[in-house]
Amino acid sequence: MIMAPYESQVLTTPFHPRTSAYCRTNHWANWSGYTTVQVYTDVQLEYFAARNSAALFDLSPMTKYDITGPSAEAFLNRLLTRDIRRLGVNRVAYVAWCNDDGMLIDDGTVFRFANNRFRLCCQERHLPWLLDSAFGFDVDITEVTESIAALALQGPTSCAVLKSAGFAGIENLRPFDLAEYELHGASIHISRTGFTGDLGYELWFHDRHALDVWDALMEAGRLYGITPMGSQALEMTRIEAGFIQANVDFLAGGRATRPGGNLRSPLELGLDWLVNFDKGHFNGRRALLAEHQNRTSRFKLVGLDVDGNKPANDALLYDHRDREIGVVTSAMWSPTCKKSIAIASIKHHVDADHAGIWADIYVQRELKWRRIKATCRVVERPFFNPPRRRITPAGAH
Amino acid sequence: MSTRYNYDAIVIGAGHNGMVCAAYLARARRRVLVVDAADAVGGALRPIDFNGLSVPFAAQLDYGLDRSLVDDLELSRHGFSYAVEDIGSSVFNRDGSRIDYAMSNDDTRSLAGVSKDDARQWPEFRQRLIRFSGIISDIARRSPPRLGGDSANARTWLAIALKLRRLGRSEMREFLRIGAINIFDVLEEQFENPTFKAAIAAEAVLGHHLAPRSPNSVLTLLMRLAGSQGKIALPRGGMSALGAALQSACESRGVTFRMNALVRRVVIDNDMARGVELDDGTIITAPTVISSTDPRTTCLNLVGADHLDTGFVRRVRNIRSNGCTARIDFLLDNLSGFAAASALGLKRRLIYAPDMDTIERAFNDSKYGRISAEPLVELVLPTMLDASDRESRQHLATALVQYVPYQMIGDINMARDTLLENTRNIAELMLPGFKSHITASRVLLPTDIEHGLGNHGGHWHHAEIALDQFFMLRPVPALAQYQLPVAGIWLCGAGCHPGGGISGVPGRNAAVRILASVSLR
Ligand SMILES: Cc1cc2nc3c(=O)[nH]c(=O)nc-3n(C[C@H](O)[C@H](O)[C@H](O)COP(=O)(O)OP(=O)(O)OC[C@H]3O[C@@H](n4cnc5c(N)ncnc54)[C@H](O)[C@@H]3O)c2cc1C
Repeated sequence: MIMAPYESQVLTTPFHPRTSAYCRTNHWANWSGYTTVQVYTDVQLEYFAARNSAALFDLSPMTKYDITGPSAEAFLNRLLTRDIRRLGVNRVAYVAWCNDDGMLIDDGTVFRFANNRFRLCCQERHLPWLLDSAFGFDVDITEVTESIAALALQGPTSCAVLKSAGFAGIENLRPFDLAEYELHGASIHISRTGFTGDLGYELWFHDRHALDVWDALMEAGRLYGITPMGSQALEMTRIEAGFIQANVDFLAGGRATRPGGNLRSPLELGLDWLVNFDKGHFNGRRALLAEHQNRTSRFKLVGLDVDGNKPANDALLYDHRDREIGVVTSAMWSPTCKKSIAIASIKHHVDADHAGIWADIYVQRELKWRRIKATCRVVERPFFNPPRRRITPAGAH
Repeated sequence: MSTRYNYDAIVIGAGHNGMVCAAYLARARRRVLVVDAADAVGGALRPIDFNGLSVPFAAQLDYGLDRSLVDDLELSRHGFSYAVEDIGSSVFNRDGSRIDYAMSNDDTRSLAGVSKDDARQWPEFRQRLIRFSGIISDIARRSPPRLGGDSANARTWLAIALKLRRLGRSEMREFLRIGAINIFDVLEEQFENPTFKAAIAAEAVLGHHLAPRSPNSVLTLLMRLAGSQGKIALPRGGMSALGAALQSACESRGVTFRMNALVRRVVIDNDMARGVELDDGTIITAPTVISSTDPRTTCLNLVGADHLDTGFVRRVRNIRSNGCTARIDFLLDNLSGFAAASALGLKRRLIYAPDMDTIERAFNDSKYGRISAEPLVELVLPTMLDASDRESRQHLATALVQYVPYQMIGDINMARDTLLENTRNIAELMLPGFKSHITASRVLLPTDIEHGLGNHGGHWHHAEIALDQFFMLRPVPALAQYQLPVAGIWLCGAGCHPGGGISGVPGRNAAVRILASVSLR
């Protein structure tokens, strides 16, 4: 069905009865066709819940594809830049995939439920690309975005909340492990994954169980400071974790309509570690290998520590001779790191340590604009990386 | 070169393009193997036994075998010569009246039946077409440039631009005007006689899934004329004799042939060709593998989507390669009785095309999955044309018939019968008494051709010729340099630039490209 823009409709997620009840600000936004909460009560409060206790985030609009069949593994290995043959059953991997030119189409996560059963989760919709990629492979691809509800439970007490909700042994999940549980007759997949760079889990289940699961978690988390979290607080934790975001830090491949240089290769986004040249052919391999061998990357992704306390959003970056060398793609004042941090794309040839990078920041107070030249230092990502993120068994905190 | 491999190069397919490519490679001292699934060489020229007579599998006339290739490969030393070098054509109207013409000369005396105006216009029009086809023939000999490429590309474009410039300003404008439009409009501007217009339109659409009103049907006419300026020829001993001469030329340069060997896949290791695997599991190794079957079959079946990128596979899957031309052979008994009556016709190429609308309607039928009720037919009697072929008292008539859809609605055997009946009736109209001499017949539909030649769609050109599948876009931009993305795998068949027909140019262009590239290694 084709709808005119004025006829189009934004859907609600399976958690809407709960999320709308908690949302005091009435601040919503359209995320992939679903209305989702930006801020429930206060962005700082929700952010600190994620960092100090547990935050519950409605992840349902995430695009999800079930990929099954005898050549599911071979299909994914050709689609993705990583070696999927090495992904064990009940494991999750962060993945990226490219077009023929080796330019990133999107990133996401792959779940392996069984030898021939996978799920791919990502930001954008990719069914045409996946179906085209399936030609020549014995594989079934089903979009399950609507039928699979998802919650992220993130923060130091998240493990304790799940335990008290009845998920016995959850503390033994290692990062990127996946396990299936039953709760009040509902099958729930839990993965130790998340977007916050901290201890945290994601829960995946059929949408008919949505409200039961939400209620069970909120009930179990009462003594552990559980707080529903909106997208704005998640975005803060995302930047601190140093993750890149489609259509923020890179343009998703399918979105580009103009020729010339707006897309980025994984090598230009610091995702070299996701690219395995030895696993056989995959989409974009030849272009990426040429880029790698001929050193023709045009950009690189860096983490920046920006002087002062003004977030450097969208700032252009210059070197000590005032030559433009790049742009900030994500930035914030990090309450946990207590500094102004940024993710930036800079020209590949720039010697980031000695370039004398500065950011051109414009700040406005009472409609008065001021320009700040803020010195930047290149720093490691993640900006925030607590040991509890990795320790197994997970602590109770 | 290394001896770790069985051969320097393996050519898949002993069609004429595969053999031409092999011969050029062998001439440059490469050790070459040609493998073919069939029991004899030639591809579409392959001799087939037809009730004791030998007929070529599909192709019936030489519209433009590249003559420089005949010299390069010294084909005359290998027994190649022409029985007829310039066959005249006759186009028939529904009432059996006919107009004789030739695309190769201005002999207006033969244009009996057309108006004075038409006859006056013809020489100038024909010569212009031939001039324009010279541009196409120049393009045909070049390996296409890469889109957005280097200085070699720029030189190619420059050379073509200069050629165009040399036409003069107004002629260049005319070339650019008609280059992409349809032959219907051009002929309507020029001539009156409906049957004469249909004759020229038939030259434009024969072998193409196009009708006179389809876009770029002028391009296809120029393509046809580019090969030999409108001359239509028949080798001595028939079309299959060219295949035999090519085989001999190959063998004299050390090329090995392996027949009855279906290639199942190209062996690829670490993104490089290593050889081929035959249907029986045999692996033959070579660092260079060249396929003369169509691009789609080569990429998707012999190489496999798992070695290619999704966007590329998508484009290859969308190559238009459904054939629309059928071949029908008739065995005729002693013709002496009726030879006198139709003496002239028996040594000509007979076209059935009453008017352009009839061709257009015939095309419409096929668009919707039906065979044409009143098809376009090209009929010849090779045993009459080639006097060398005269021990037998039996004769052959062979016909190419359009349009026969690749995907047909309804029962295929009924369609076969209807097609045969329609063609017999048309042949009877062109050569009265013809039907009573038929003792056997053979019908090849596009699906039969697909099976017989191992390509996808059974198309005359392995891939439709249209502006979006031409030159640096043929068959898709990423394949226009004859080279697959996997190192060491090449194309040399009709699906490449400049396209199909018995020309040998794709095979030669590919060899030139391969030799240039492999010596760099
Ligand atoms: C009905 C019809 C009539 C035609 N009439 C004429 C005509 O009169 N004049 C003219 O100029 N052109 C004609 N053509 C066009 C012409 O025949 C083709 O363009 C030409 O044959 C292409 O030559 P080729 O060498 O590229 O491929 P082909 O002649 O198709 O040869 C390909 C060869 O590859 C072999 N092969 C394919 N796959 C495999 C495999 N996996 N393993 C091993 N071997 C394989 C096949 O057996 C075949 O021998 C006609 C075409 C058709 C369909």
